[in-house]
Amino acid sequence: MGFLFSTPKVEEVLQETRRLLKATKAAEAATILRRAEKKNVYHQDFPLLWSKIHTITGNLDARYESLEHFLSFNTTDVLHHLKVIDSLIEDRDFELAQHFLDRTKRRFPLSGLPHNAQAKLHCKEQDFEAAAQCLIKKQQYGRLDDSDIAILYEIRKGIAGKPQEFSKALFTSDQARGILRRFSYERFESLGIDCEFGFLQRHYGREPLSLFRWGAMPLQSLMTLFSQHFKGFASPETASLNLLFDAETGETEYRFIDTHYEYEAHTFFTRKNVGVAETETSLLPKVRSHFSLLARKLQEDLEDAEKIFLYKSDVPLSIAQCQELHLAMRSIGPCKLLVVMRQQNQQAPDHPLEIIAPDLVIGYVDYFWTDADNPKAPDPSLARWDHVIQHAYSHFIAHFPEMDIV
Amino acid sequence: MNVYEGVVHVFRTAFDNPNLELNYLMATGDIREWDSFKNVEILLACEEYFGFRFRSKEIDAIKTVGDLIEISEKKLASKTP
Repeated sequence: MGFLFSTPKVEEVLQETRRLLKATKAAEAATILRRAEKKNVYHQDFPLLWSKIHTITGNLDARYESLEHFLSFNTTDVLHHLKVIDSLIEDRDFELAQHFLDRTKRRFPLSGLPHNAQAKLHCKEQDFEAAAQCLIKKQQYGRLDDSDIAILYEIRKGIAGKPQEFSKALFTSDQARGILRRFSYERFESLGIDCEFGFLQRHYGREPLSLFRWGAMPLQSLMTLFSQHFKGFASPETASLNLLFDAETGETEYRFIDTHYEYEAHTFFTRKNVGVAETETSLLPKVRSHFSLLARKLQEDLEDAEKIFLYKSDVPLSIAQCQELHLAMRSIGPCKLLVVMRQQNQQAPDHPLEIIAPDLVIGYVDYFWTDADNPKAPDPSLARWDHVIQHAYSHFIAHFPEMDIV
Repeated sequence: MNVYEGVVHVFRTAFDNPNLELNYLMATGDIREWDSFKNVEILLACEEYFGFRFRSKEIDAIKTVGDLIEISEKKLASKTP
């Protein structure tokens, strides 16, 4: 708390005030803000914090004034106005949130964003049909976007498989179906063996950061990586850069190599986009940090076990091999695994998944992009992949048959 | 320095452009050479600048500059003083 006796940094003031408000220590939070303001330290969020202090102390007039003060900083940005609504929803004052939301709608009649906020508010009030109606309305002002995904899921969960007029209309609309389909691709995390799934994610507008999206290692090394909990991955002793010429693109690209795990990945650093002063020696530390972060991220994902991990094998794997990979992953967390292989029988099955265990399934596609007989080469077999992905998504994540996006 | 200014500093350094201006809705691709590799560089620079580490879920939730600022603010606010 030493900063109270010198000029505090605005960041520290915000941090400390929010911490105190979380602990509902309004008097202490007010002292911090007052001292900062006396020393001319100010941030546009201070009035919002004051409003929270007044909420705790029950001074409702002062709270209203603080919110007005916050709005006065920016009268033209709808996002600034919606911050007040979010703050009031967070405080669970839905009545006042509705009041400010009505004002925002009047001020920004052509923006679809207040309808998103209205849907959020209806969800908090457990009125999921009204929330669905708001998202339908938002579509009239533009398109549903990523900010609507959480609300779509909340509505879907809220109506518990019993859609009525508006929710039925919402979930059968192209926009909602499209956005849910695109989002489903983000729930999958590629484990290799090549970039095909990375390009599928790009096709659906998702660009997740991932260790194996643009990189790969042999299956045995992958299992070792997991069973050794990423030990020594991208260490100075095993990491290097290799300059490779790609005859197809005519580009010379640095590839990142980890010799211990036989990992190789694109860096997208080419002779054209690195500075003339850059050398392999100067680039390597940057690239190592990059892949270390991605490895750390993957390890957390395996621990959290919320994503669906996807391993594409360009050679047929036995069930025992799939189980072995799954077991190695499970040494980190209780993961869900989808192994994708090429179907041997060209007759497409109705259900493209073979369920080995509740959290281990095998999916079959007709062609991989690099297969010599792929009629759509160099493109992936989009429809077939999507069939597998949506079925796996439904299998692993809650399934709502009435609004099935498959 | 507030989080917005910190993030601007990180971006200006990453893109080697001292005059770079940001807005909350900017996303990957909105600046020349802003690709997924640059995103990792920005995340690492933010971690070093603010003194915290992003969790995987937080990284996945960052779609825009506004998301990066908001998540950084929350992480700083939840840091034990």
